[in-house]
Amino acid sequence: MQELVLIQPGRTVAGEAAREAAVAATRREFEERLAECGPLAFRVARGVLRNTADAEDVAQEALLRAYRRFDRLREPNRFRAWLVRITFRLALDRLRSSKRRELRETLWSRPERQPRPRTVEEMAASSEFQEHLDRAMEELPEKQRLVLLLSAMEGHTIEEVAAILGVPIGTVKSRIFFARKQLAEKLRCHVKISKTR
Amino acid sequence: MPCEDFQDAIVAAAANGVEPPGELSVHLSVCADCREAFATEQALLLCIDSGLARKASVSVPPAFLHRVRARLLQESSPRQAWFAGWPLLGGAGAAVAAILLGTVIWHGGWAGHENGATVNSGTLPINLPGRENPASIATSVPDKFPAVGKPANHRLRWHEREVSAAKNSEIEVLVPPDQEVLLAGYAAELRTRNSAPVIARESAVAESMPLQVDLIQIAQLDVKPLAEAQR
Repeated sequence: MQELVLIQPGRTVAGEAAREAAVAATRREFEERLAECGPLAFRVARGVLRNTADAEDVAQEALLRAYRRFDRLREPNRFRAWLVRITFRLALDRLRSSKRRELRETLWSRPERQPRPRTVEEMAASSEFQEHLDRAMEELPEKQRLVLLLSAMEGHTIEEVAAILGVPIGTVKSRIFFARKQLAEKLRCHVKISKTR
Repeated sequence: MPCEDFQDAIVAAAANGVEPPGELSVHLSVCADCREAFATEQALLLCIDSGLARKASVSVPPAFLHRVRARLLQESSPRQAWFAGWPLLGGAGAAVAAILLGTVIWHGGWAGHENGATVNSGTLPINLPGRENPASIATSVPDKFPAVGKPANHRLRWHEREVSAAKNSEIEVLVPPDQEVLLAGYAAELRTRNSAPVIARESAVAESMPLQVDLIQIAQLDVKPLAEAQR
Protein backbone atom coordinates (compact mmCIF):
# COMPACT_ATOMS: atom_id res chain seq x y z
CA MET A 1 0.00 0.00 0.00
CA GLN A 2 1.31 3.40 -0.93
CA GLU A 3 1.77 5.95 1.81
CA LEU A 4 1.04 9.55 1.10
CA VAL A 5 3.00 12.18 3.02
CA LEU A 6 1.81 15.75 3.09
CA ILE A 7 4.73 18.09 2.42
CA GLN A 8 4.71 21.85 2.27
CA PRO A 9 5.07 23.07 -1.32
CA GLY A 10 8.66 23.84 -2.28
CA ARG A 11 10.09 21.71 0.54
CA THR A 12 11.22 18.15 0.83
CA VAL A 13 11.71 15.97 3.89
CA ALA A 14 15.45 15.82 3.28
CA GLY A 15 15.61 19.58 2.76
CA GLU A 16 13.73 20.16 5.98
CA ALA A 17 16.09 17.91 7.94
CA ALA A 18 19.10 19.64 6.46
CA ARG A 19 17.66 23.02 7.34
CA GLU A 20 17.03 21.96 10.94
CA ALA A 21 20.55 20.59 11.20
CA ALA A 22 21.94 23.86 9.88
CA VAL A 23 19.89 25.85 12.41
CA ALA A 24 21.14 23.62 15.24
CA ALA A 25 24.74 24.02 14.09
CA THR A 26 24.32 27.80 13.91
CA ARG A 27 22.86 27.86 17.39
CA ARG A 28 25.76 25.80 18.77
CA GLU A 29 28.27 28.10 17.12
CA PHE A 30 26.48 31.13 18.46
CA GLU A 31 26.44 29.64 21.97
CA GLU A 32 30.22 29.52 21.85
CA ARG A 33 30.39 33.16 20.85
CA LEU A 34 27.85 34.00 23.51
CA ALA A 35 29.95 32.45 26.27
CA GLU A 36 33.00 34.29 24.94
CA CYS A 37 31.55 37.74 24.21
CA GLY A 38 28.39 37.93 26.31
CA PRO A 39 30.14 39.27 29.42
CA LEU A 40 31.98 41.84 27.31
CA ALA A 41 28.66 43.07 25.90
CA PHE A 42 27.26 43.39 29.40
CA ARG A 43 30.32 45.31 30.64
CA VAL A 44 30.24 47.71 27.70
CA ALA A 45 26.58 48.40 28.40
CA ARG A 46 27.26 48.75 32.12
CA GLY A 47 30.15 51.10 31.39
CA VAL A 48 27.77 53.46 29.62
CA LEU A 49 24.72 52.95 31.80
CA ARG A 50 24.81 53.12 35.55
CA ASN A 51 22.09 50.58 36.05
CA THR A 52 22.74 46.83 35.99
CA ALA A 53 19.20 45.94 34.91
CA ASP A 54 19.32 48.40 32.01
CA ALA A 55 22.76 47.12 31.04
CA GLU A 56 21.46 43.57 31.00
CA ASP A 57 18.51 44.53 28.82
CA VAL A 58 20.73 46.33 26.37
CA ALA A 59 23.29 43.52 26.22
CA GLN A 60 20.50 40.98 25.63
CA GLU A 61 19.07 43.05 22.83
CA ALA A 62 22.49 43.40 21.22
CA LEU A 63 23.12 39.66 21.45
CA LEU A 64 19.74 38.88 19.90
CA ARG A 65 20.49 41.22 17.04
CA ALA A 66 23.84 39.54 16.62
CA TYR A 67 22.09 36.16 16.47
CA ARG A 68 19.74 37.37 13.75
CA ARG A 69 22.69 38.52 11.68
CA PHE A 70 24.97 35.66 12.60
CA ASP A 71 25.32 34.38 9.03
CA ARG A 72 27.20 37.60 8.25
CA LEU A 73 29.18 37.64 11.49
CA ARG A 74 30.74 34.16 11.60
CA GLU A 75 34.28 35.43 11.84
CA PRO A 76 35.06 35.78 15.58
CA ASN A 77 36.85 39.14 15.37
CA ARG A 78 34.14 40.60 13.24
CA PHE A 79 31.47 39.30 15.60
CA ARG A 80 33.24 40.78 18.63
CA ALA A 81 33.70 44.17 16.98
CA TRP A 82 30.13 44.29 15.74
CA LEU A 83 28.76 43.25 19.13
CA VAL A 84 30.80 45.88 20.99
CA ARG A 85 29.69 48.63 18.62
CA ILE A 86 26.01 47.70 18.63
CA THR A 87 25.98 47.32 22.42
CA PHE A 88 27.63 50.70 22.84
CA ARG A 89 25.15 52.31 20.44
CA LEU A 90 22.11 50.74 22.13
CA ALA A 91 23.43 51.72 25.55
CA LEU A 92 23.86 55.33 24.44
CA ASP A 93 20.30 55.35 23.11
CA ARG A 94 19.02 53.95 26.39
CA LEU A 95 21.03 56.48 28.36
CA ARG A 96 19.61 59.39 26.37
CA SER A 97 16.05 58.16 26.73
CA SER A 98 16.38 57.61 30.47
CA LYS A 99 18.10 60.91 31.23
CA ARG A 100 14.89 62.81 31.79
CA ARG A 101 13.54 60.12 34.08
CA GLU A 102 16.79 60.02 36.00
CA LEU A 103 16.75 63.78 36.49
CA ARG A 104 13.25 63.57 37.92
CA GLU A 105 14.26 60.79 40.28
CA THR A 106 17.37 62.56 41.52
CA LEU A 107 15.34 65.66 42.27
CA TRP A 108 13.10 63.62 44.56
CA SER A 109 15.68 61.38 46.16
CA ARG A 110 18.91 63.28 46.62
CA PRO A 111 21.51 61.19 48.43
CA GLU A 112 22.64 62.42 51.78
CA ARG A 113 25.61 64.73 51.76
CA GLN A 114 28.75 62.88 52.77
CA PRO A 115 31.93 64.50 54.07
CA ARG A 116 34.21 65.45 51.20
CA PRO A 117 37.34 63.30 50.82
CA ARG A 118 40.62 65.06 51.59
CA THR A 119 43.09 63.29 49.29
CA VAL A 120 43.08 62.10 45.71
CA GLU A 121 43.05 58.48 46.86
CA GLU A 122 40.05 59.05 49.07
CA MET A 123 38.43 60.89 46.25
CA ALA A 124 38.94 58.00 43.85
CA ALA A 125 37.22 55.63 46.24
CA SER A 126 34.29 57.92 46.88
CA SER A 127 30.95 57.58 45.17
CA GLU A 128 30.99 61.30 44.57
CA PHE A 129 34.09 61.01 42.41
CA GLN A 130 32.52 58.12 40.56
CA GLU A 131 29.55 60.34 39.92
CA HIS A 132 31.78 63.09 38.55
CA LEU A 133 33.67 60.56 36.47
CA ASP A 134 30.43 59.23 34.97
CA ARG A 135 29.33 62.73 34.05
CA ALA A 136 32.70 63.58 32.59
CA MET A 137 32.63 60.36 30.55
CA GLU A 138 29.22 61.23 29.16
CA GLU A 139 30.62 64.49 27.84
CA LEU A 140 33.39 62.76 25.92
CA PRO A 141 33.00 62.12 22.20
CA GLU A 142 31.53 58.65 21.61
CA LYS A 143 34.61 57.23 19.90
CA GLN A 144 36.88 58.30 22.73
CA ARG A 145 34.50 56.98 25.32
CA LEU A 146 34.30 53.54 23.74
CA VAL A 147 38.07 53.26 23.41
CA LEU A 148 38.57 54.30 27.02
CA LEU A 149 36.00 51.78 28.25
CA LEU A 150 37.47 48.93 26.24
CA SER A 151 41.02 49.71 27.32
CA ALA A 152 39.92 49.71 30.96
CA MET A 153 37.98 46.49 30.50
CA GLU A 154 39.17 42.89 30.88
CA GLY A 155 42.81 43.96 30.61
CA HIS A 156 42.55 44.74 26.90
CA THR A 157 45.78 45.97 25.38
CA ILE A 158 45.85 48.79 22.86
CA GLU A 159 46.40 46.22 20.10
CA GLU A 160 43.33 44.25 21.21
CA VAL A 161 41.20 47.37 21.33
CA ALA A 162 42.40 48.27 17.85
CA ALA A 163 41.52 44.77 16.63
CA ILE A 164 38.08 44.88 18.26
CA LEU A 165 37.22 48.22 16.72
CA GLY A 166 39.03 47.63 13.44
CA VAL A 167 41.01 50.87 13.67
CA PRO A 168 44.79 51.48 13.59
CA ILE A 169 46.76 51.27 16.83
CA GLY A 170 47.82 54.91 16.48
CA THR A 171 44.18 55.96 16.39
CA VAL A 172 43.47 54.06 19.59
CA LYS A 173 46.48 55.64 21.30
CA SER A 174 45.50 59.16 20.32
CA ARG A 175 41.89 58.63 21.35
CA ILE A 176 42.96 57.34 24.75
CA PHE A 177 45.34 60.25 25.20
CA PHE A 178 42.75 62.90 24.38
CA ALA A 179 40.10 61.18 26.44
CA ARG A 180 42.28 61.00 29.56
CA LYS A 181 43.40 64.58 29.10
CA GLN A 182 39.83 65.80 28.88
CA LEU A 183 38.78 63.75 31.88
CA ALA A 184 41.66 65.18 33.89
CA GLU A 185 40.66 68.71 32.95
CA LYS A 186 37.07 68.12 33.95
CA LEU A 187 37.87 66.42 37.25
CA ARG A 188 40.80 68.55 38.35
CA CYS A 189 38.61 71.17 39.99
CA HIS A 190 36.89 68.57 42.16
CA VAL A 191 40.21 67.19 43.38
CA LYS A 192 41.49 70.69 44.10
CA ILE A 193 38.39 71.53 46.09
CA SER A 194 38.84 68.47 48.23
CA LYS A 195 42.53 69.17 48.74
CA THR A 196 42.02 72.74 49.89
CA ARG A 197 39.63 71.69 52.63
CA MET B 1 51.71 76.96 40.43
CA PRO B 2 53.62 75.30 37.57
CA CYS B 3 55.67 77.30 35.11
CA GLU B 4 53.55 78.47 32.22
CA ASP B 5 55.89 77.12 29.55
CA PHE B 6 55.66 73.59 30.92
CA GLN B 7 52.01 73.48 31.93
CA ASP B 8 50.79 71.76 28.77
CA ALA B 9 53.77 69.45 28.66
CA ILE B 10 53.06 68.31 32.25
CA VAL B 11 49.43 67.54 31.46
CA ALA B 12 50.37 65.78 28.22
CA ALA B 13 53.07 63.69 29.87
CA ALA B 14 50.74 62.65 32.65
CA ALA B 15 47.95 61.83 30.20
CA ASN B 16 50.35 59.76 28.10
CA GLY B 17 51.25 57.73 31.13
CA VAL B 18 54.93 57.69 30.21
CA GLU B 19 58.07 59.14 31.75
CA PRO B 20 58.39 62.87 31.03
CA PRO B 21 60.51 63.61 27.96
CA GLY B 22 64.08 65.03 28.28
CA GLU B 23 63.47 68.78 28.51
CA LEU B 24 60.54 68.43 30.92
CA SER B 25 62.44 65.89 32.97
CA VAL B 26 65.31 68.33 33.41
CA HIS B 27 62.90 71.10 34.36
CA LEU B 28 61.08 68.91 36.89
CA SER B 29 64.35 68.14 38.59
CA VAL B 30 64.89 71.85 39.31
CA CYS B 31 61.32 73.21 39.71
CA ALA B 32 59.44 72.06 42.82
CA ASP B 33 56.12 73.63 41.76
CA CYS B 34 56.14 71.83 38.44
CA ARG B 35 57.15 68.62 40.18
CA GLU B 36 54.21 68.94 42.52
CA ALA B 37 51.88 69.78 39.63
CA PHE B 38 53.12 66.75 37.71
CA ALA B 39 52.62 64.51 40.74
CA THR B 40 49.10 65.85 41.25
CA GLU B 41 48.32 65.28 37.61
CA GLN B 42 49.65 61.75 37.76
CA ALA B 43 47.62 61.07 40.89
CA LEU B 44 44.51 62.44 39.25
CA LEU B 45 44.99 60.24 36.22
CA LEU B 46 45.66 57.27 38.44
CA CYS B 47 42.44 58.08 40.18
CA ILE B 48 40.62 58.28 36.84
CA ASP B 49 42.12 54.98 35.71
CA SER B 50 41.09 53.23 38.89
CA GLY B 51 37.62 54.73 38.60
CA LEU B 52 37.39 53.50 35.02
CA ALA B 53 38.62 50.08 36.01
CA ARG B 54 36.03 49.90 38.74
CA LYS B 55 33.40 51.00 36.26
CA ALA B 56 34.49 48.49 33.65
CA SER B 57 35.05 45.46 35.84
CA VAL B 58 31.56 45.02 37.17
CA SER B 59 30.60 41.41 37.70
CA VAL B 60 28.22 39.92 35.21
CA PRO B 61 24.97 38.69 36.81
CA PRO B 62 25.14 34.89 37.05
CA ALA B 63 21.82 34.36 35.28
CA PHE B 64 22.60 36.74 32.45
CA LEU B 65 23.78 34.13 29.95
CA HIS B 66 20.92 31.80 30.87
CA ARG B 67 18.43 34.54 30.22
CA VAL B 68 20.01 35.30 26.87
CA ARG B 69 19.87 31.60 25.94
CA ALA B 70 16.21 31.45 26.92
CA ARG B 71 15.43 34.40 24.73
CA LEU B 72 17.36 32.85 21.86
CA LEU B 73 15.30 29.68 22.16
CA GLN B 74 12.16 31.76 22.21
CA GLU B 75 13.39 33.62 19.17
CA SER B 76 14.04 30.49 17.11
CA SER B 77 11.00 28.45 18.19
CA PRO B 78 8.70 27.11 15.43
CA ARG B 79 5.82 29.24 16.71
CA GLN B 80 7.83 32.34 16.03
CA ALA B 81 8.76 31.00 12.61
CA TRP B 82 5.10 30.32 11.90
CA PHE B 83 4.17 33.87 12.81
CA ALA B 84 7.12 35.12 10.84
CA GLY B 85 5.50 33.63 7.72
CA TRP B 86 2.44 35.83 7.99
CA PRO B 87 3.92 38.92 6.38
CA LEU B 88 4.98 36.76 3.44
CA LEU B 89 1.51 35.24 3.13
CA GLY B 90 -0.08 38.66 3.41
CA GLY B 91 2.18 39.98 0.70
CA ALA B 92 1.33 37.08 -1.59
CA GLY B 93 -2.39 37.59 -0.94
CA ALA B 94 -2.11 41.28 -1.72
CA ALA B 95 -0.25 40.49 -4.94
CA VAL B 96 -2.94 38.01 -6.05
CA ALA B 97 -5.68 40.51 -5.22
CA ALA B 98 -3.85 43.21 -7.20
CA ILE B 99 -3.51 40.89 -10.21
CA LEU B 100 -7.20 39.95 -10.06
CA LEU B 101 -8.23 43.59 -9.78
CA GLY B 102 -5.97 44.50 -12.68
CA THR B 103 -7.46 41.72 -14.81
CA VAL B 104 -11.00 42.86 -14.03
CA ILE B 105 -10.17 46.45 -14.88
CA TRP B 106 -8.35 45.39 -18.05
CA HIS B 107 -11.36 43.52 -19.39
CA GLY B 108 -13.72 46.27 -18.34
CA GLY B 109 -15.72 43.81 -16.28
CA TRP B 110 -16.89 46.27 -13.68
CA ALA B 111 -17.84 48.97 -16.15
CA GLY B 112 -19.62 46.45 -18.40
CA HIS B 113 -21.77 45.18 -15.56
CA GLU B 114 -22.57 48.62 -14.29
CA ASN B 115 -23.75 49.82 -17.73
CA GLY B 116 -25.64 46.68 -18.61
CA ALA B 117 -23.41 45.93 -21.60
CA THR B 118 -23.74 42.38 -22.83
CA VAL B 119 -20.90 42.32 -25.29
CA ASN B 120 -18.05 40.16 -24.14
CA SER B 121 -16.03 37.29 -25.46
CA GLY B 122 -18.60 34.66 -24.41
CA THR B 123 -21.88 36.20 -25.52
CA LEU B 124 -21.61 37.72 -28.94
CA PRO B 125 -24.95 38.87 -30.37
CA ILE B 126 -26.46 36.81 -33.17
CA ASN B 127 -26.51 38.53 -36.54
CA LEU B 128 -30.22 38.60 -37.12
CA PRO B 129 -31.78 40.37 -40.09
CA GLY B 130 -33.43 43.62 -39.18
CA ARG B 131 -31.29 43.94 -36.06
CA GLU B 132 -28.18 45.86 -35.37
CA ASN B 133 -25.00 44.46 -36.84
CA PRO B 134 -22.61 43.04 -34.20
CA ALA B 135 -19.94 45.30 -35.55
CA SER B 136 -22.16 48.31 -35.05
CA ILE B 137 -23.03 47.11 -31.55
CA ALA B 138 -19.40 46.64 -30.80
CA THR B 139 -18.48 50.06 -32.10
CA SER B 140 -21.01 51.59 -29.80
CA VAL B 141 -19.64 49.75 -26.78
CA PRO B 142 -16.75 52.10 -25.88
CA ASP B 143 -19.22 54.94 -25.49
CA LYS B 144 -20.97 52.94 -22.81
CA PHE B 145 -17.73 52.23 -20.94
CA PRO B 146 -16.59 55.00 -18.67
CA ALA B 147 -12.86 55.64 -18.36
CA VAL B 148 -11.66 53.47 -15.48
CA GLY B 149 -8.10 54.59 -15.24
CA LYS B 150 -7.12 52.67 -18.36
CA PRO B 151 -5.36 54.49 -21.21
CA ALA B 152 -7.53 55.23 -24.24
CA ASN B 153 -5.32 53.28 -26.65
CA HIS B 154 -5.68 50.15 -24.47
CA ARG B 155 -9.46 50.39 -24.63
CA LEU B 156 -9.28 50.93 -28.38
CA ARG B 157 -7.12 47.84 -28.86
CA TRP B 158 -9.50 45.75 -26.78
CA HIS B 159 -12.44 47.08 -28.77
CA GLU B 160 -10.79 46.29 -32.12
CA ARG B 161 -10.01 42.78 -30.99
CA GLU B 162 -13.62 42.21 -29.96
CA VAL B 163 -14.96 43.58 -33.24
CA SER B 164 -12.75 41.37 -35.36
CA ALA B 165 -13.71 38.37 -33.23
CA ALA B 166 -17.39 39.16 -33.71
CA LYS B 167 -16.99 39.52 -37.48
CA ASN B 168 -15.17 36.23 -37.92
CA SER B 169 -17.27 34.16 -35.58
CA GLU B 170 -20.00 31.74 -36.59
CA ILE B 171 -23.05 31.19 -34.49
CA GLU B 172 -22.98 27.93 -32.63
CA VAL B 173 -26.09 26.75 -30.82
CA LEU B 174 -26.31 23.72 -28.64
CA VAL B 175 -29.63 21.89 -29.24
CA PRO B 176 -31.07 18.57 -28.11
CA PRO B 177 -30.66 15.81 -30.74
CA ASP B 178 -34.39 15.54 -31.46
CA GLN B 179 -34.64 19.27 -32.27
CA GLU B 180 -31.55 19.43 -34.49
CA VAL B 181 -33.50 18.99 -37.77
CA LEU B 182 -36.11 21.50 -36.70
CA LEU B 183 -33.53 24.16 -35.84
CA ALA B 184 -31.61 23.52 -39.08
CA GLY B 185 -34.82 24.19 -40.98
CA TYR B 186 -35.36 27.33 -38.96
CA ALA B 187 -31.85 28.53 -39.73
CA ALA B 188 -32.34 27.88 -43.48
CA GLU B 189 -35.60 29.83 -43.37
CA LEU B 190 -33.86 32.62 -41.49
CA ARG B 191 -31.20 33.02 -44.16
CA THR B 192 -33.76 33.34 -47.01
CA ARG B 193 -36.01 35.87 -45.29
CA ASN B 194 -35.54 39.45 -44.27
CA SER B 195 -37.32 38.95 -40.97
CA ALA B 196 -37.35 36.15 -38.48
CA PRO B 197 -39.98 33.44 -39.19
CA VAL B 198 -42.71 33.10 -36.70
CA ILE B 199 -42.56 29.78 -34.95
CA ALA B 200 -45.08 30.58 -32.29
CA ARG B 201 -48.00 32.93 -32.48
CA GLU B 202 -50.19 34.32 -29.84
CA SER B 203 -53.65 32.76 -30.25
CA ALA B 204 -56.86 34.67 -29.87
CA VAL B 205 -58.38 34.55 -26.41
CA ALA B 206 -61.76 33.58 -27.84
CA GLU B 207 -60.32 30.51 -29.54
CA SER B 208 -58.99 29.07 -26.35
CA MET B 209 -61.30 26.70 -24.55
CA PRO B 210 -61.04 25.70 -20.90
CA LEU B 211 -59.55 22.28 -20.45
CA GLN B 212 -62.06 19.63 -19.57
CA VAL B 213 -60.82 16.79 -17.39
CA ASP B 214 -62.94 13.82 -16.37
CA LEU B 215 -63.16 12.97 -12.72
CA ILE B 216 -60.97 10.10 -11.62
CA GLN B 217 -62.94 6.95 -11.04
CA ILE B 218 -61.57 4.51 -8.48
CA ALA B 219 -63.37 1.22 -8.55
CA GLN B 220 -61.79 -0.55 -5.63
CA LEU B 221 -59.47 0.72 -2.97
CA ASP B 222 -57.17 -1.80 -1.34
CA VAL B 223 -55.69 -0.54 1.93
CA LYS B 224 -52.61 -2.32 3.37
CA PRO B 225 -50.54 -1.62 6.48
CA LEU B 226 -47.32 0.29 5.69
CA ALA B 227 -45.02 -2.29 7.31
CA GLU B 228 -46.48 -5.06 5.25
CA ALA B 229 -46.24 -3.03 2.07
CA GLN B 230 -42.54 -2.43 2.71
CA ARG B 231 -41.93 -6.15 3.05
